[in-house]
Amino acid sequence: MRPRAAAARSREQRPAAGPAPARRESPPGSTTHETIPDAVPHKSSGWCSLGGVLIHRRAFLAAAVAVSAGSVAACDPLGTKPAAQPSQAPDVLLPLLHRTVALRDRYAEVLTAFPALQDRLGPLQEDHAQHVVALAREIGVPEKGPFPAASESAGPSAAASAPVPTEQSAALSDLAAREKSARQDAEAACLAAPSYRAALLGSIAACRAGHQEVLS
Amino acid sequence: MTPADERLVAALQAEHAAIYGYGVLGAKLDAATSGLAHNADNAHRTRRDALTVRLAGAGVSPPPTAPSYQLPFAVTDRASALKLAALLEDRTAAQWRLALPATDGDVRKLALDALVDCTARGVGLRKAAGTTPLVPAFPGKPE
Repeated sequence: MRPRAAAARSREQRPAAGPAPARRESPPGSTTHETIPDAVPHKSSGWCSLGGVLIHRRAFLAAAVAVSAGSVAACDPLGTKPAAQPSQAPDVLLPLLHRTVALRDRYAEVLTAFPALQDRLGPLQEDHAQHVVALAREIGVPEKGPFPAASESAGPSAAASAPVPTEQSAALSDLAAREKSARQDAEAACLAAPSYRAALLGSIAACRAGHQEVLS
Repeated sequence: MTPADERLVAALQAEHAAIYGYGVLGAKLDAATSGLAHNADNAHRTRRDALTVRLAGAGVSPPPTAPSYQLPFAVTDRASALKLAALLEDRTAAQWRLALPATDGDVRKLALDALVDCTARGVGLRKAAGTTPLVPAFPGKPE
């Protein structure tokens, strides 16, 4: 939907609530490569800052190899800093990834106990599976796992391993409570995240809020 | 204008459009769904007001609402009204999602809460409409 006046004036103007522009969500205003004042490794991610421009390490590496096979210093195009070491602190998103796996698997347990809920719960389980893939890609670990252990506890393991309630309504309430907790988990991660991860984590939080609504 | 302000302006324009849209579609709903639209309308107005205050406080002139907006399809009955309402939530959610990378702190919280609320409301509307999927895997993300 767009303002009529704006539509008449110019098609280039973005509509008030039109389709979101399909463009990279890199920080606005940083689109040149003229200077490289702060080329630093982002040790915990696959992303590098190059003059304020975020590029993916894989993309950068590919370019670096193409340009100069002798200077493949990850995220350090000037070669002034030691290359990022493979053995780094665990990514801060790893605990969230593990908890997302646990939530996905909980749906599988509930569906095993109550196969009749497949139509209702199957799509939600699939959403979580997609979140696992997205988070694994973001962290830079294989999508199918196994995932490296998180430095902190991967969550309330006692609750995670609790048996599925025998009553269907109780099982659904249990899932709703887990979704709420998971939403808060993702919200906290979003608010603490650097710019380039904020949209992904915000979407995951919003999806979990949507799941709560489905289960209510 | 900072990148964050630009995103908030875009979000405000989306809120204006949503409020206009609810004004149009509300009349086509029945008793069971008009409450959903009423609550949604109120939520968008609250967010619009908060945005207006924040932008003005930052020295940015908040864009006013347009006199009218072009609807993507005719709203003739309950089904088309619910479809438009869900679309309004999706589009508003998309603008708020775009604000996340450009913001931090309290402003990112504002954007995140809006994204979450729009998504949850969209689910309620699609449940009422009987359409699926109820929830996108990545709400607000362009397809």
